[in-house]
Amino acid sequence: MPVDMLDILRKYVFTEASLFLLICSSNGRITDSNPYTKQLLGFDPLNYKINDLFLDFTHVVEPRKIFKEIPEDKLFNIKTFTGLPQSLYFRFFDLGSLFLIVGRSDPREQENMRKEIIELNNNLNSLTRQLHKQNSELAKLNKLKDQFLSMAAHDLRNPSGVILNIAEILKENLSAQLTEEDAYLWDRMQKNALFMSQIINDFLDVSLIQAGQLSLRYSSCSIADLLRDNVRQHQIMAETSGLKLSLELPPENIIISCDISKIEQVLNNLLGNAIEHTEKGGDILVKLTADAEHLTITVRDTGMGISPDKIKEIFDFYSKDRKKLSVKKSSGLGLAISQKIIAAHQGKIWVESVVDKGSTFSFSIPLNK
Amino acid sequence: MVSKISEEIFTSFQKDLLAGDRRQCSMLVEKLLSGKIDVRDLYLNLFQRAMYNIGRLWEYNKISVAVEHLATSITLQMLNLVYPVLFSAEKKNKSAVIACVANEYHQLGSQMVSDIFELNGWNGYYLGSNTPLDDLLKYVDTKKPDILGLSIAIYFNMQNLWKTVEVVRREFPGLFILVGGQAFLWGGREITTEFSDVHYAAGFEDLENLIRQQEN
Ligand code: B12
Repeated sequence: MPVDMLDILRKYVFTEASLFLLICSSNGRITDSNPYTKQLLGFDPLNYKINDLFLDFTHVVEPRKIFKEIPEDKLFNIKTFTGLPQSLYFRFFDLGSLFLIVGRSDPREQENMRKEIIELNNNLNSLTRQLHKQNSELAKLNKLKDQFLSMAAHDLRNPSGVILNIAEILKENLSAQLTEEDAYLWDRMQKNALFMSQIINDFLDVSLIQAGQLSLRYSSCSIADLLRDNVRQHQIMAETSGLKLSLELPPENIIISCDISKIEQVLNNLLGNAIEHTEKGGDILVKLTADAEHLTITVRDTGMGISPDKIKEIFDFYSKDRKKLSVKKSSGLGLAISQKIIAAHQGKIWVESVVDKGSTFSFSIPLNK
Repeated sequence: MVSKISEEIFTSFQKDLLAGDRRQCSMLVEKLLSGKIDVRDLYLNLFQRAMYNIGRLWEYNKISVAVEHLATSITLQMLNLVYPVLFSAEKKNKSAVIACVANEYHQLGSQMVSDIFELNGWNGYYLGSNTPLDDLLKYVDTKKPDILGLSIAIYFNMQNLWKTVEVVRREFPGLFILVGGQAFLWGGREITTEFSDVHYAAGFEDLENLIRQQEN
């Protein structure tokens, strides 16, 4: 090779080529490097020790141990500006008082990697598209299911109402003729028909809520009167279960604007649950408090309580334990419906509970509605 | 259709694309989408034009492949921004399966074509680039689409396309096969006369005419 060509190459290799080049003294201090090396490392390694750059040598205390002639490609890992390590194929040349370290990458590895990235990227994009597509298909199916539920509940409501009415009329007309056994069966039939119509009503509520069509009919009412009525209605049920049910009211009379039947529905649900889940001899206290902005109603029982992992999803429609956590003869949707009713009143509902000690369900709604 | 993509919008997108600034690109596209831009306008006058331009810059050695890769990757991701609107619309009982033939890595054009089906109320199922023939046959068998669309950008894949069409024609004799992509600029359109019921569409207009024909 002509001398001046060698000269050009020498210069080019050191200043421009994609080669990792380090010159070190025999104690491992770096005395020079090329621009490629500085770019790859993200800093000028001058005066650093080679242990600082090579991940493989971080534990080597005695640089002499590293500095052996390595005449064939050997893989080592170096730090790079990205914070990720890079493997290069290295050779070490012993030049007496100095060491020359040369590292290069394998073009086949790099190209394969690039192809892989392009393929992965393409796959990611087609998969993302499929995900969007399937998501929208599922959303449409879900809507269809909601519509079906709503239609079914709608269609069942009238016949179930008719059954309830006829059963009541027949009971009156036939009461003289019924044996004790027949009367018992008749009673069970009526209770089950009532249970069925309540479930249908829950389903209807859910479908209205899912469709965003829960609308409130506001009117003003004395909240104390509402509570007195509701507690009175539950008194017999509580007594039959051997429970003490009491009501605590503040001295002042509070008038609020709300959907009375919906608030009654929430109270029925909370009281029904409390009675169901409290053992004989227990207490249930319904309490009303108010500050300048909110009124709060709490229903406290001394029942079995709810474990913390179940509390999280207790107000969800799809809670796994909703059946267990609610009144046996119900759809189990009551708490979720209550939550939506209270939210529609701009209020909130929550629960505090200790297992084996009892639960306190509370809801508050703003006064100036 | 009057384009909503002004020269200024185009230049700014192209600049961000070349700089690899995905955030800036997303912001611009989001803005256009909230201004109710027609998806075709967005695809053709912004994305396709920018990518064709980038192809030219690359061909003339003005940019490296790394810059082109990044630009393609960003543009592909921009399609995701369109999907929430695109897929939620009501669909007809019509479907198309779109794929690139084996060894074809140019994804953007065919993915857009699948979206045009969605835009026309069809279900556009997209299999992606470099689809092995077996996978394609299996998918067509389960989805039973009204149209199978095959995309090809590089001419040397033409043989792959012919092979694919030959097998699909044999396995699914009545299936409407649609072919398209840049490779046809270099030839190969005889495929539409060589096989029965194989059609070629050059761009979105041709494509939408064919879609309408298939609805009747
Ligand atoms: C990005 C790009 C790549 C990327 C692709 C990455 C990816 N994930 O997609 C990578 C790096 C992989 C690549 C590789 C190659 N590329 Co390239 N690439 C491009 C580039 C710059 C942009 C492609 C693009 O996205 N265009 C925008 C889309 C929207 O346009 P479109 O594909 O034309 O699609 C439209 C229509 O064609 C039509 N259409 C497309 N498909 C279908 C299907 C149907 C059914 C219908 C109806 C319509 C239809 O609708 C779309 C919307 O209008 C083009 C330049 C260009 N002019 O396009 C070159 C280009 C396509 N590449 C080219 C070449 C040569 C190659 C390589 C062979 C390079 C090489 N020598 O290694 C390899 C081949 C790899 C392979 N096996 O596939 C040539 C193709 C020439 C030819 N026809 O043979 C081009 C044209 C560049 C050029 N002028 O030289 N490339």
